[in-house]
Amino acid sequence: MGRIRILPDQVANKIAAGEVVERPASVVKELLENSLDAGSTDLRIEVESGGRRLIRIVDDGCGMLRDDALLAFERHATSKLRDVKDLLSIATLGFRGEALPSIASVSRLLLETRSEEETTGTSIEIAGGKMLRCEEAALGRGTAITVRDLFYNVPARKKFLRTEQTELAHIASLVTHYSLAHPAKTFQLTSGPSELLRVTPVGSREERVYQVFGSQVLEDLVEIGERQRDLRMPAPGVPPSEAISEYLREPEEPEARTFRLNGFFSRPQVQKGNRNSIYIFVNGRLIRDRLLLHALSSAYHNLIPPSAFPFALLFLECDAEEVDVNVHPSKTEVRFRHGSFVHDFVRDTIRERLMESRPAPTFPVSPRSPQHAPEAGQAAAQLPYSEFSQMVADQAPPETLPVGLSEHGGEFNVPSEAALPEFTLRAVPGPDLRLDFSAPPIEVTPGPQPSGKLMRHADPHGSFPPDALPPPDLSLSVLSALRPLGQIHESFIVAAGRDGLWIVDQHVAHERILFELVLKQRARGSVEMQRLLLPLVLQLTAEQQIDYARIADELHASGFETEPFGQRTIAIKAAPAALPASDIERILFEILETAEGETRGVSLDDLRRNVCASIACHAAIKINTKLDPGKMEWLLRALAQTDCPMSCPHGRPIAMHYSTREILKAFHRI
Amino acid sequence: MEFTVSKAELVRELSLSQGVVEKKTTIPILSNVLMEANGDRITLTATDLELGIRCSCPARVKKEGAGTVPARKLLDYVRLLPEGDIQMKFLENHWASITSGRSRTRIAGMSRESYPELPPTPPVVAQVPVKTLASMIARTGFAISMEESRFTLSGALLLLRPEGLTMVATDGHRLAYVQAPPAESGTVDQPFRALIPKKAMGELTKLADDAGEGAVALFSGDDNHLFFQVGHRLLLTRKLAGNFPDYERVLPKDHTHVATLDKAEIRSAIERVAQFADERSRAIRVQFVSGEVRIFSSSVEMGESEESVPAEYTGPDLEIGFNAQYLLDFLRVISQDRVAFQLKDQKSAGELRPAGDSVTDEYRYVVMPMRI
Repeated sequence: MGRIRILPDQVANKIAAGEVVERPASVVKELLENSLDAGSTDLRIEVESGGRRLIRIVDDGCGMLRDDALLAFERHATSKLRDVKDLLSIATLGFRGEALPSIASVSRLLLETRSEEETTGTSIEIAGGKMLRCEEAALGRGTAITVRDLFYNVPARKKFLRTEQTELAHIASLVTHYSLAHPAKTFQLTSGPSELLRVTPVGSREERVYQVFGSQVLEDLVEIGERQRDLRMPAPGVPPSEAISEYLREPEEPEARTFRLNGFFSRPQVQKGNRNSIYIFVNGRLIRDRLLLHALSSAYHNLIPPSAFPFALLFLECDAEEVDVNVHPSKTEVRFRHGSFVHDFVRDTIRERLMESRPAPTFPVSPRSPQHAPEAGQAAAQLPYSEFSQMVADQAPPETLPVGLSEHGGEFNVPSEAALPEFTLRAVPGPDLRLDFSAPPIEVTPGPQPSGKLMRHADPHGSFPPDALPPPDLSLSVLSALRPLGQIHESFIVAAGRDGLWIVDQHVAHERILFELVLKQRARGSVEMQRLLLPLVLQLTAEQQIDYARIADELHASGFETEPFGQRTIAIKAAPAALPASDIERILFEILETAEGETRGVSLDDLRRNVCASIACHAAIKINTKLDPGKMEWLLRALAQTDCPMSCPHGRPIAMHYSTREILKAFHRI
Repeated sequence: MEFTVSKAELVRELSLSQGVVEKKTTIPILSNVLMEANGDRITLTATDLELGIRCSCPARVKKEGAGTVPARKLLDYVRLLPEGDIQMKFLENHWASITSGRSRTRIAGMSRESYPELPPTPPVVAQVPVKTLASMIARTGFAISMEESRFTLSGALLLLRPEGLTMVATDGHRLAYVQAPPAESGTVDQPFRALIPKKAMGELTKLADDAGEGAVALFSGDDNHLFFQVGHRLLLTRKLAGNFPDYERVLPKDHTHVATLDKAEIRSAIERVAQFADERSRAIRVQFVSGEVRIFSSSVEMGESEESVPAEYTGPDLEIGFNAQYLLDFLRVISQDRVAFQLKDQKSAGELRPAGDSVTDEYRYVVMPMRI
């Protein structure tokens, strides 16, 4: 007898379960996808002990006929696929026919289902893959699946489960995101007695985001709106999966394939420390895809620091034939037939919207916010020494620090967010600064008194008309109308506008202006180059030499005339005209540095932007530089004309806004 | 210490120290001036540890000694006193009392012991007319770069040789070279090569302005410092460390083509045309054609401008890009009426020199072209 034998289904199912059912959240995902595929509109998920003890999903979908219900627990049994051609255009979330038998093989499972066509439902009980019971039952339409004691017969896997809290968090995040993808359906998630999520059907994704995350998050997000782009090229493309490539029909390509992108992404001021806040759905399926993640980061390139990540919820819809989900049993990876097209489409769409929205960061100032005192101290410590900075440092009362910490301990524990100002875009009507003298005196509308101490009779200092105000234009386009008042520390321009006070970092502002200028010149091919008196000879490391060879052409196009000069040595003969000769060595090494390492695979476009950013940074006016009023005005006007006046090419914010409303609030006038 | 000094003399010497006294000081004593009374003179010393100045003026010394007072405050106060004699007396607690006419002031000082000691002056190696030095500084100083790097130095090279003085400055894009004729170079006992920091050059110019006609600077130097003694004033500076670029390689050996122009004409033409050049690069195109030089500028945002200036030029048609500011820096500093523009091709350095009969020394200005 041979040594090789076919494994019994029992074993095969357990092996498949290893891939498909990794943790309770994967069970929830598979079952949830089944329910969604069944057209349910009301999905209830119950879990106990983080899903270890119980996972129960009840839906109102189409249900199953009795025969089907029995068949569903056979391996590779599915209603979603008929032949191999269907694999090319999978429109359902599931298709492998592996999930149910896999789950059933590692748990005690109870299936209760009734399809519309049958008068009675079916109840099937399976434990460890063995059918225990199958009987008729009186049930409502839809399917309920109860999974108990997950991994009870796989102790090894059970050991690898994390704490209940962790597993529950995974489930909650999964359900949350499926609820975002399906705003028209009801989702309910309960863990034991407590309800974690309950959302009712709404008309738009925006409302669903509001339901799930609340207004604060919604304000920090930009909605893409529906954007689409057609793919026309009858490009041959890569066959979706090699296994079925032979079945590919010959290029009888349709004229156009439409890709639609929808969703939300955060304004550049929101910066997360990891990718956990990026959710990408392709045709309603939650996936992790390197290609799309990269498209997203390159959209934010030069807007947020390279180590920070945005918050994003992206929904990409495309022809089912354009995407292959049959990559991994867990179905969290996909492949696109026209990957670079999808990448560019996503990147360009987000970048465009980012440019259009031009949101302005505001100060997180409120009359009672002790957490800013320590920040002021920190800021002063980094400022160049001056009487003022000394004063700021001296005045930061040290005893407020513990107070701030205790009251806002949570915030301080998250350095990436605590260090950053808070950004709001609340559409509050700001009072107009222009007072109309002929208007009748306006009574201050009695509002809720913030505290008993503040007596607010008719204000003897004159009041601001509380209404009839233009909605404040918080986009940075108002920069051009600003009137510079002066500089702080010869580094930051303070300017007054119709809608309050602005503080602009002169270096990064100029950097942004030059960056776009240099990019434009570069695009036109009209880079001005200054030749050097003596060629500057640089010694490179072997690694830098390789990077240099790769980017030499780009360097030349950007205005660096360089040539190899023997072993690991290059000579610079000319450099972009705006750069002082003393900076050239530093800047070239800086460019080489950005070209190496993780960005090695980076596109030429990104490389070009990096080079331009380096040039702009070194050519820009520095902080600690005195500017006359004319220069400041020019700077603000030029900044307003840039495509993206909110952050510098390295992702730092340029302008801060302190609205008239906030000023009035701080002085207890409103 | 106690002495009486004339107000005018004290103000004049104190003023010279102001450029040296550290303004944004981190060491408080450096904002003070050291006053020493000896014999029939008082000596004032100021330093920021990079640069030092020591001046003296006659005084009636009643009691010898030394003390320090804030330099800025002392000058501001003394300047406001009426002309006449000022009596200064240093008290036990380092305060100084100043009496003049009916004014009496006490000014808070600091102990002399904490004031840094200036290095001793080594033997003199050359005697140089200060006017020559000042004129060389004026004609090279603008080409010094603001920042130091391996490639550029924020200072000028001074060469003292028996055949004459030479000063060279560069910022990596251009180089100014002046060689004074032997007749104006004074006497050099021993060849010397030194890098003078930009700030010291400025102070040296001030000393020269204040010195009388024909004044001579006694020059000496040790390993780390340079000393310029002008009359009873001594300026000393730390030497710049680093290697000055090999300027002789940069000075063109041969020029194929020369255009000679009227300085005032070409200067004002460039000034006008440069209004429409890029604000940062200040790039203009200079076209040399037979009998004239044309200048062009254009910027996408603002517009364009062109002008032509008659010139003695017989070479082939050439068009070269230059930074207008670099050309103007030179044209604004020369005293001669004619200027010679020497060039080879689009990629090689251009050279400007004053032209005409009144040229007595060798002044060469090398500017690298731009690619526009």
